[in-house]
Amino acid sequence: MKEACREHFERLSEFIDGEIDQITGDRIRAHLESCPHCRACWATFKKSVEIFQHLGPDPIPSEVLTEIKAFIRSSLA
Amino acid sequence: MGNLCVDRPAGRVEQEPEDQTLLDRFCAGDGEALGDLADRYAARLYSFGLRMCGNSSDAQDMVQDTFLNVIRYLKGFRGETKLKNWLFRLASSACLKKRRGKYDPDRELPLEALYPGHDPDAPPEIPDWSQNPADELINDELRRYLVRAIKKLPPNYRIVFTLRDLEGFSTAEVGEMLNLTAPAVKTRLHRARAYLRRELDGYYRGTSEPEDGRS
Repeated sequence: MKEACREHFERLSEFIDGEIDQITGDRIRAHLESCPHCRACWATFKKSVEIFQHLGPDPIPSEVLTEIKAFIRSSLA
Repeated sequence: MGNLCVDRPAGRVEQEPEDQTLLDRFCAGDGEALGDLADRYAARLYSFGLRMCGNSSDAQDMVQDTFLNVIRYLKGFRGETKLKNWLFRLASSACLKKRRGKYDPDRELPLEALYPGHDPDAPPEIPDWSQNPADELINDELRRYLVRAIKKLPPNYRIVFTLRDLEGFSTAEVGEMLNLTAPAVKTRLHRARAYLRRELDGYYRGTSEPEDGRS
């Protein structure tokens, strides 16, 4: 295991989110081009984040919403 | 100290038009404005509560506690943050209070345990699932699997992950809501994602059920 692989793994979320400075970003991009193991890790990590961000909210049962609104009305009274 | 209904304090942020209308109605004494606020946000807050608390009853309690605080504090809301962010800040506080003594304690997820590592003798493999569009990958089974996996995250990681990736708030917004620095938000988010990425990988390989995040 190369130390560089571990270091880049630590910054992978920031890299995927575009929240990293350009120099570090360029360094990670260069590493991904030269390291197929890290490239595979990056691909699954990036796809995982996409899946999380597409999950969407759980629906609220209509009776729960009705109860919450009744609670608000009674709290205002 | 000013308030939204009396003053126009400096530092106010622009609200979404629907929220501004609700705030204006509230300031004008319209008693229905809070009910309409519930219509607009209760579902999202409930979903957030469900992911944080893990059951419907506690999620409903959390939403109601949040709206109690809205009733208490909305007059003092100065508009220095978006209304939606303020609501989620109240909801996060309600979650943290509710789980105190009831749910898992906060604990660390060491990055070492989440690092996938490389086997230098094995050829690198980019799994098929990482090549497909997310929309095509998400089905009821995967959703249930991920909900279980998310529930296994330690709460201090779960709340950051939920606000950031599931609710779509930015790093700065989550930091503001939870009183965390941006680096702390990023660290927790990355470890939560690394844990869940490992679970997803296990799901697609057919080798794992969501494990407790203690590894």
